[in-house]
Amino acid sequence: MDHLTEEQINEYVDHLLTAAEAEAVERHLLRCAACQEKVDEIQQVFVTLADLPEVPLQKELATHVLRLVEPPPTSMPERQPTRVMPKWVPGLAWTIAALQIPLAGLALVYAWPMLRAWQAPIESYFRWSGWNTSGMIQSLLTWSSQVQRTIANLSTPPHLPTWNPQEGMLILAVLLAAWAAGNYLLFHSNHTATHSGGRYGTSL
Amino acid sequence: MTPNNDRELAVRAAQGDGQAFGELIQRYQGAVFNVAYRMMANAPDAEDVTQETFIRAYRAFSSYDPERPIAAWLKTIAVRVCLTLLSSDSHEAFSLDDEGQSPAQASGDDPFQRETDPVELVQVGERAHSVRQAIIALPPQYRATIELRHFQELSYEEIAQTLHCPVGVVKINLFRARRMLAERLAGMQKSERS
Repeated sequence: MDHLTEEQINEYVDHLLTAAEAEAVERHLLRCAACQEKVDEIQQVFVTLADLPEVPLQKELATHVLRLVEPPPTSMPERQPTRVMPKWVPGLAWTIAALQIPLAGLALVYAWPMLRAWQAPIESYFRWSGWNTSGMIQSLLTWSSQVQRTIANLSTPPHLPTWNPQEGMLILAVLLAAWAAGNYLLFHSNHTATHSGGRYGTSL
Repeated sequence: MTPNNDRELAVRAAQGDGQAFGELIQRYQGAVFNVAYRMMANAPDAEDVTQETFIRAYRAFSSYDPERPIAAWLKTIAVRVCLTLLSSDSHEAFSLDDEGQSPAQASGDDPFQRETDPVELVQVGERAHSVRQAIIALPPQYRATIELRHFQELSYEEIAQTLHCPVGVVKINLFRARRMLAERLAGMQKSERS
């Protein structure tokens, strides 16, 4: 006589068989003591596990778990509402930054002749310190003059105005002011983007 | 307004409401602890598992289906946490093919013999202690299958989803686990009679 398989026994005790299948198993169990014993043992497992009592939890875990999952109250002051940076400011900042390079080059060309007046004291200083810089300064002055002449030849009207040292200083001051303003805007734009974490948008 | 149903609490907890989550913990920490206690067989580990279960639940609320009973969801998380802990280096490793004794038994170092929990002995009694001893002797995957089928009453398919294994494996594990439990329980009855 064939015995019930392990799967048949377990599905029978789990009530997963169809009515016809369950009836066939029960007919078999009536005449097979070995299979009936196996079923009884499994059903005893069911009863034993169902009777297993619960164990009381001795600790209160809610407070501890909440402390772990919730961010601790911060001692830092609340983030103050910030002024929103106008959309055109970053664009202006980058434009100024892009212009700074040619403007700086131009400023160098026109400002350099002013150093002619300071050539003697500078040379004197470096001579005193042991450096021979006259050749280097002379080379720079020559290069500067050549660049000025080249620009003057290319310009329309054909001749650029020749600025005196006072005008050169004024131009230099304006360029430095533009440079400082551009750097200020860039710094604040980057700083705000870094520290806002993208949550508050671009703000100053 | 005081929330009085699990679903409402779960929805609020999922939205980051710490008070609602705290109430859920208070409601179900005992049930989760008992799942862990059946799987781990000692109170300190079971408490750790209970705590970890709620932490994982809090972080996984986005995947929780509010239509599903919260208790069932928490208990399945607890079983997974137990399996993770049991499979880690700090705990005994069991083979799925190991139908015989657990390594602890084989070495004669039965966890219940080694560390008898006085709370268990006093409050639950010697009979329950013996049943737990029989459960803890099972390999972790068998233990998990017994837990999910007999205590959480999941179907074979649900157990397979929970344990990420084929239904066929669930059946085999369940049959073998029951057979092992039956043998151990029969042995216990014999020793009680004698």
